[in-house]
Amino acid sequence: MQQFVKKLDISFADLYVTGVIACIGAAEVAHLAGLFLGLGMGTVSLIWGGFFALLLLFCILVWWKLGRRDRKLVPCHKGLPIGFLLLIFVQMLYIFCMQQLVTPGDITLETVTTFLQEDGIHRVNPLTGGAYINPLSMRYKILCLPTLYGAVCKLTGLLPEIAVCHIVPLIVLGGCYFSYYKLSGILFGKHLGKRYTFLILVALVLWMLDGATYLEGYGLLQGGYMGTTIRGLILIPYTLQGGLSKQWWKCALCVLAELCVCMTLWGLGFCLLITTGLVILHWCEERKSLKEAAS
Amino acid sequence: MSYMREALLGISEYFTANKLITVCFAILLYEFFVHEKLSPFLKYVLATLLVLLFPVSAAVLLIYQPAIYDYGFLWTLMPVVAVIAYAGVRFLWDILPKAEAPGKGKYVIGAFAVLGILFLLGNRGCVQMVSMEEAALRSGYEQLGETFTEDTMLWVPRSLMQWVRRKHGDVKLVYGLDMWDAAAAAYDGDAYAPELIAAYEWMLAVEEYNVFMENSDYVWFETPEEIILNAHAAFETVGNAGGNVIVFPTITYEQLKEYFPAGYETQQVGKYTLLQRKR
Repeated sequence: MQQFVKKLDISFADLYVTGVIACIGAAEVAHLAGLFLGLGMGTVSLIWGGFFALLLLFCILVWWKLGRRDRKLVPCHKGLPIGFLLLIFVQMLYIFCMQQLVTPGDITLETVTTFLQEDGIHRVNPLTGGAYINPLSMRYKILCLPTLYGAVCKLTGLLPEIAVCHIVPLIVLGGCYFSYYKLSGILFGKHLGKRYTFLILVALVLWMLDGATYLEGYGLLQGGYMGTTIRGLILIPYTLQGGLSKQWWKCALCVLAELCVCMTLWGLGFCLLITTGLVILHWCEERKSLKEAAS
Repeated sequence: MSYMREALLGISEYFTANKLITVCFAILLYEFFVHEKLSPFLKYVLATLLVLLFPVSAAVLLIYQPAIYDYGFLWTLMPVVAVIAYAGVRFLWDILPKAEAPGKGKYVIGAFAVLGILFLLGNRGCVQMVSMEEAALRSGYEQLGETFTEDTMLWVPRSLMQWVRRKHGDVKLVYGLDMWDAAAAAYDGDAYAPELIAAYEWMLAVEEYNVFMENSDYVWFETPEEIILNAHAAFETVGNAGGNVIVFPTITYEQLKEYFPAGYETQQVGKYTLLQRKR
């Protein structure tokens, strides 16, 4: 197993991000089971909870097998990681303590509350509590985030507002910075100083981009639980990192995760577009280098 | 054509909301003209930027993206945050050390320059927060919510409605926020009957009247005719839909109660008056 783990060349950041993606995948399986088999939220939560426990054990095992490795990173001034951690701490405080805005078009909290109240998935309209007049579209029905959050509430006993608006965004914040940390490895190699400066600037830029609902800063600070935020802050940077380093399995995972958290055109989402773009980019680069070698 | 129009309007709106995008242009120009070669990451960024700026390709992307999402979400394809941070790192670690000014002072000035650009172009670091009016509405709803039961079907002003289903999964509504929020309506695709829409418009007129009253020093102005004429029809529609609890701000209720039909018990809860149908 140690050989397999070393061959994949993964780090703790990879474990965290793929762990988040795996949780989404498990929630999707539980969600579909609940939706099509009519299972209650209790059963759905247990399915997801069981998987989460196995995943946690697996991650601990992999991390133990990885052991301490000398990645030969260029060391940096201690102030940089401390400054970065301080910025993250302030963001975590903000997310945990501040009242969340109501985002137009977002009905996640209503849906989670309804799932828990009705003990089932998509049984009534979350906006009125009454029956649906028209059938739901399949590409909305398959989105699993409300089920995931409902399972978290059921297993932990937390109120939906606390779990969805304050706890989940903290997990997304962690995933965001781990994804950007991996991306910084592509951009700056083993230079830790540049990588931490990059992360500090990412944290600052996210504070500045809070002007509109589609900006990344708004997603992190006000809507960390939304599918578009998970896509923009975790999946897309991770897809870029995977595609630029030709670790296509990461891109594949992100494409599948996006299908579960955002509405897409028959599963064709942004991660797939980015992966396609990077494949074309690599192909063009290889052709160019072949031509240069031939000449 | 509507996609092209949306793309053109969207570009302008996006550049207004995110002025930091100019930093992305700056780093691309610097890398292209000074180094004459772009890294694969920047090549991807340049390609995405061109696709997003050119209206025809942006319109194609709008067709690809579900209509429920705004144009601004297309810019997620380009890693804007990463590019801006990358530009800052290049400036601080690669360009500044080559500057002719001696000593470490140039690093301090450089760091302040980066922070200044981020601050000034980034909306001066202002984050959106819950306003005091919104916070007062939330706490007002908290008080109201304690009186609701699982048999309650509510008809409330729009400003309170957004809290009902977020906090109480057992309380039903005569109509939801998809009555006015087109993005929320896109999820369930349900449509409301014209009578219910008329009742919603009546309640909207009452809310506007309430805002006018709360912000005015005088109370002896005329009640709008539409509120007087349509009150009974609105109540009847809501009653037929199953609504059994109606909420009004007390200041408005006191002004309008003479126009309301009989058959309701009243209860004062904080700043609000509840009307419950007599059984």
